[in-house]
Amino acid sequence: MYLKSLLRDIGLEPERVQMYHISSAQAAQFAQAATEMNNQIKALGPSPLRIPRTPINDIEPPEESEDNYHY
Amino acid sequence: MIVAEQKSLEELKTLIGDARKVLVVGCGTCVTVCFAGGEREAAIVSSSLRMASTLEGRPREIHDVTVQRQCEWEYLDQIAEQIGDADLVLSLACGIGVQAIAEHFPKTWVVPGLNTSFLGLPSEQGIWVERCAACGDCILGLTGGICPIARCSKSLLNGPCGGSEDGHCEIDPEVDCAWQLIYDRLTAMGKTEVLLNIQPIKNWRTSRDGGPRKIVRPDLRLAAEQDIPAAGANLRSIRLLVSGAGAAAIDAGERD
Repeated sequence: MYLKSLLRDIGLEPERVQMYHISSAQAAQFAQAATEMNNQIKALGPSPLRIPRTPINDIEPPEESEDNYHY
Repeated sequence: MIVAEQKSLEELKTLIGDARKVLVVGCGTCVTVCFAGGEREAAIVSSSLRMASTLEGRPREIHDVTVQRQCEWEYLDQIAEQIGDADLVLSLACGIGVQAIAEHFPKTWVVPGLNTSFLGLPSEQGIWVERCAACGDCILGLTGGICPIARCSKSLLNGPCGGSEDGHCEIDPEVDCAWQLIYDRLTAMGKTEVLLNIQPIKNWRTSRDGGPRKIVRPDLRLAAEQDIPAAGANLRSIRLLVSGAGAAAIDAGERD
């Protein structure tokens, strides 16, 4: 509850965090919770705080120097 | 301990205003143990404000640091450089810590991140209750160790009043009647005869009524720092004079 209200105050969706009580013997419940959260986060979309990543193909390879190790 | 509560994030954002470089300063003593302004809270506030600022489209540079005690110069000296670099300091100490920063760093704009609430203790996990009003003239020796100044809603010295019902105060059935607590404790201790001593009107000069208070301990003063008030100075002070036998006498100083 505290974390949800803190997220709301910050300006983020409180649904981004959820607490589940699941014992180590409850595999099915764990899978269900993981699926539920996965769907929830997908529906909300990426965090607005997230810095857009440069597509991997656009990253310049680092210049090689004598300090680099090659295996 | 001094018990405090954190201000809302909304109020903190207002207090910070347009400052670009903010230093959140936690305090490692009272407000740490009441979970209001310690190292953990300073980090959470700092992180929350960074996120909120970014979401509002005006990211700021916000750092946090926590000192052992914000109310002593030597601990503040340790963070002088960080304070000097900041546009604004958000203090997560009690009001004493906020004022200590303002006094020690005259060019620093400092704002309070907490509301200082009272002097008290944690009665249960997550619950703090008031126990002392810092009246400057302790009478706990007359009341079985239960303070009627802080805990009786009327601060009665010869209670209870007519508003005491089933051991509770008329202001709120959740509030214990301090004088019922005192009576119950004295009964359990076999000392109810103490209640037969009628307490005279309390001298409130030692409390807030006498203006800002001050204690001078000549035995602890450094020779180089001894200051002698000029004759006729308008000094409001309470001097605690400790005699060789250890008895204390209060001299209420010159008054207006």
